[in-house]
Amino acid sequence: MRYVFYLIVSALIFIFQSTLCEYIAIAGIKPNFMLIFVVSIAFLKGNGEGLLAGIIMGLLQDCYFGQTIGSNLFLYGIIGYAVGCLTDNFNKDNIVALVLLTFIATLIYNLGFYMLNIILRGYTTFNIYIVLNILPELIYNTIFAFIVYFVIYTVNNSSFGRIGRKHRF
Amino acid sequence: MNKKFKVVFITLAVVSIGCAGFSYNRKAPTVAENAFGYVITPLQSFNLSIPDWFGGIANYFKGISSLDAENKELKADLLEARAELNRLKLVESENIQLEALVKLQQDYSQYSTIGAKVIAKDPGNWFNSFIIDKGTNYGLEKNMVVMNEDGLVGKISECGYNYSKVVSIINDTDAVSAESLRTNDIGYVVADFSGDAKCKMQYSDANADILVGDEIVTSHLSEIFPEGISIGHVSDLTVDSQTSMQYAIIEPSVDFSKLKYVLVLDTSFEKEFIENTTTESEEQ
Repeated sequence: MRYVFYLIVSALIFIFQSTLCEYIAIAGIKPNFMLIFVVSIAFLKGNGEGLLAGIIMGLLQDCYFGQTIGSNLFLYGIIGYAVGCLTDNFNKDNIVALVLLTFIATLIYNLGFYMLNIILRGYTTFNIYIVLNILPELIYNTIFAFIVYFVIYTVNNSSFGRIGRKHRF
Repeated sequence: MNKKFKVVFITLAVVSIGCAGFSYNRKAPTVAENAFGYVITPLQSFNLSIPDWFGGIANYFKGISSLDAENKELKADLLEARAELNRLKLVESENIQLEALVKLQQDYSQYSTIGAKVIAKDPGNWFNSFIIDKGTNYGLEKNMVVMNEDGLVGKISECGYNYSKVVSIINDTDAVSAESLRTNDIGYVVADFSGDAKCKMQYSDANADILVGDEIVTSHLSEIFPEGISIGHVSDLTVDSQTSMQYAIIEPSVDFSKLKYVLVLDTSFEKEFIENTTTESEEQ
């Protein structure tokens, strides 16, 4: 039941990200809600579900937009899993930790994407333009992480989240 | 009856009859009448306006009670009108874009063409691939050419039943064979991730005469792209320090961030058309 819920929510976020998100983009740079979602789920629910959310998101993006399937699948998956492992002993009410994690995850995702999709293709230039592309997204993601985490935290503490937990244990 | 009454009665009767006889068949009012009328007319109109004024006050106080309802009604009307206006503005801008596509379609009338709408764009910030709303249900296939009124956009890299994935020229893994419109120097356009322009043309001929501002179009060597579609303008000339290859940095003609409607060209149609017509004429 929870996994079906993840699938539906992931699809909705993906659709939002690829259509309406364009209207809140500033200077052509969009915030990445998919990454924020993966990080938030991993932070709240641990490495297993972070990995699952990452795989769903990565597959969606790769299948629908990528020229080759794999790079996003790997990056989202590994970020979800790593965040889950790192934050095992964290206090889950601490939003500052999540915002910092989102910042680091965005940096790692963009550098990884650049390495896998652009440097491996033979474009070995590394200059100021890359920083200009990553930096705005870092700022946007950090801001929107507050909102997304608040929504997910509320849903998790609602009756729906509790039902899921009873089934699990 | 007393005497006084009789005198008044008779005088009055005579004066009255005299006046009647005098005023019978006259052409214009007398001076006295005129003067009187002159004075009285404004007063009359003032008097007539007093009931209006009172009526107005009455209406004013009557109106306050209905004002609220009327205000709400008008606000709703205004909102509706504004929404309608926005819708019409949208329709107008759509109309302009579609008109441009129709003109383009007439320019490439030797190919079969179909218009499509961009429905989704790449979620990330690195690439500019997007999804259009037509697929194999409209006969689209892989490697069909996608363009808009400004120039070349890219080609279809995958076809679903009701959608197609379009890879733009500025992040395609394959190069596009291109030539300079002014001097016909041949080169090929590849993606470029080191600047804002996002694509560059590589040319091997050392004597090639390519200058800043030249228009770059698709060349006749390409199998996928028809000849002469605009790619962009040269904005800078550089030499790679490591490979000493010459590059022309190209500013694409198409604004990839604002694509809404595109035209898909089926270049294989031309061949079929020529084959069919030649066989028909031979039979005759």
